[in-house]
Amino acid sequence: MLSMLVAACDRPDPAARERVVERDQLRREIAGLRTLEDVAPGKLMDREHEVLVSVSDTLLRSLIAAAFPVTIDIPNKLSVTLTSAVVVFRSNVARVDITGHVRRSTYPHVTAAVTLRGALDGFKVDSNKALRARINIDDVALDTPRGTPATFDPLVINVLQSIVERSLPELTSGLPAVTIPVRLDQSMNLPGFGPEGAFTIQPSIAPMTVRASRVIAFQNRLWIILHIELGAFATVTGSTP
Amino acid sequence: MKRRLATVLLVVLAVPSVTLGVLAVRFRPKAEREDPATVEREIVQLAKQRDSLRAVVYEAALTSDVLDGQPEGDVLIALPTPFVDAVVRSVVTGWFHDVDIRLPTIRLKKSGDVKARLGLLGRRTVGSYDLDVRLDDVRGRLQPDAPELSFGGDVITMSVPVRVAGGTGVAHIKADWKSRGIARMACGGMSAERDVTGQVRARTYIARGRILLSAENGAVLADPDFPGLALRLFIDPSARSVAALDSVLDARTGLCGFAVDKSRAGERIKELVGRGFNVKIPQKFFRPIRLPIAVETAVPLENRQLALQVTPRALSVHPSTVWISANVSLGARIETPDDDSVKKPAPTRDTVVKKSPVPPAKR
Repeated sequence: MLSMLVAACDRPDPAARERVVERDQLRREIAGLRTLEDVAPGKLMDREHEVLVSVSDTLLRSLIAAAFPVTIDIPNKLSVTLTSAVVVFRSNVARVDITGHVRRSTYPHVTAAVTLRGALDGFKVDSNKALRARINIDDVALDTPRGTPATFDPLVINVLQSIVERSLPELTSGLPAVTIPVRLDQSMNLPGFGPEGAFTIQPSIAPMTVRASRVIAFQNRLWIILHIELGAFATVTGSTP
Repeated sequence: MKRRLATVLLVVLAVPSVTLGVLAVRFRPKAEREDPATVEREIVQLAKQRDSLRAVVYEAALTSDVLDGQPEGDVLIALPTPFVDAVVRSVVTGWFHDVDIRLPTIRLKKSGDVKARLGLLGRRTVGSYDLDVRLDDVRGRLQPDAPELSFGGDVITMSVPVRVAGGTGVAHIKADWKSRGIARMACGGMSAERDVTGQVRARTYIARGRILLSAENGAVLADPDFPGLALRLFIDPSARSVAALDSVLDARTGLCGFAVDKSRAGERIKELVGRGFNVKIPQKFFRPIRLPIAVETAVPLENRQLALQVTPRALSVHPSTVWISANVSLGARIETPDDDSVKKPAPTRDTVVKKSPVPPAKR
């Protein structure tokens, strides 16, 4: 019973937490580096089918910051309000630290500070021709907010910490996606013309598949390698828009 | 009494303590659920692995000529020249792919006098001919072969072999013969009309031109320039059609036949048609290409649009890479009508995401 009490009252070891976060970050970095090395050893990219999109850290920070504040409701009547985000490039990963506060709907004036640590991940091209990435969270840290009189007791914060950790999937899916400002067409169109002289040309279209292939962060920029496959042109029939 | 009090006190203290203890163990933070020593060892191994992989990848990135001439800018798009080459090839092939040519009605006319040496009478005019050839339906089809491209600055020069593949032609031929002099008495006039069919001669042409690359609204525009390009279609009349025409002309015998022969009408028709027909390819045929990637001027932000102030920079073309670059700053948020609605719900349980009040736009 005593050990349970000690466990309940004891604050988690910050060093242990940091080690786990460090380990998770390393795993993510290695996975990213492996894809770069495996796909085109020593060549960075397949030049016939791949292009590079690069975003400066300044713009990326602004784009991510613009997506906040956001409030996400998670189980146990908890509400997480995330107010700001900081982006740091490390190895081939854009690390994102998000800060905010947690409150319970039954005690709306009592809060705990929350810091989410994660990374930009899951780059993909959506149906709106946009290149988007999600923020994947690796770690949640709850603490008593500074200078705020109505805060949770450290013991309660420990329990909340665990609840929020268990709600990571919900928290991650509730985070705003980050859109890189590039437009990626999913087809190439050749307009028709005529009749003019001896020619009447029907419009034609070639389908295009675009997918985010790999990501690397260096030179204070995020580089996204996109794989693009252009199909053959085919005449657009009358009924096709 | 004392014992009862002690028991109550024990229960009062123990129940919350046990509850808290159970909760604390059950909801132990992730960091405490793992063995610190194992995590520490793993970190050492992973760090070594990361450093070695990173060295290889960074070396590849920093020595890659793909990044040659990298411009400044918040957003950069690097299109390796083999990629641009592949896209342009594909589009050029698309320009000429299965293009049907149909000539408008063409009329060819030829007339002249026919002179012949008539023994003691010497060289005399024996008649005159009028040939009227109307080409009603000449069709051909274009097929491209692999183009040759060469990059130089912001210009791609190219030559595209274009084959005029199988086509057909139908000509209505009218030949009038008017006898003159002595021949008039023996021969009089003669008129023959026939439809002559033919095959468009397969031939390969080289279309030479260039494509100018430029930046337009954050995209690469490839503008083709093929000045004064024309093809010449040749029609080979079918042997059967020519024979049919000849049979009409050969029907005359004696002096009349001699005079008509001298007109060489059949040959003249073949000459007329055999010169071929010029088909000008209009500049519009070479439709501009917009490469499929560009800097965007707004990004979606859940139920909003965030306008961006995009300042595109000049296109930068290097032997290995075509660069598009732009400076981008955040503009105004554009609210959508359903902006107050609940944001995308999370997929599980009772998670709901709500948009918080929006601070003033950054400028």
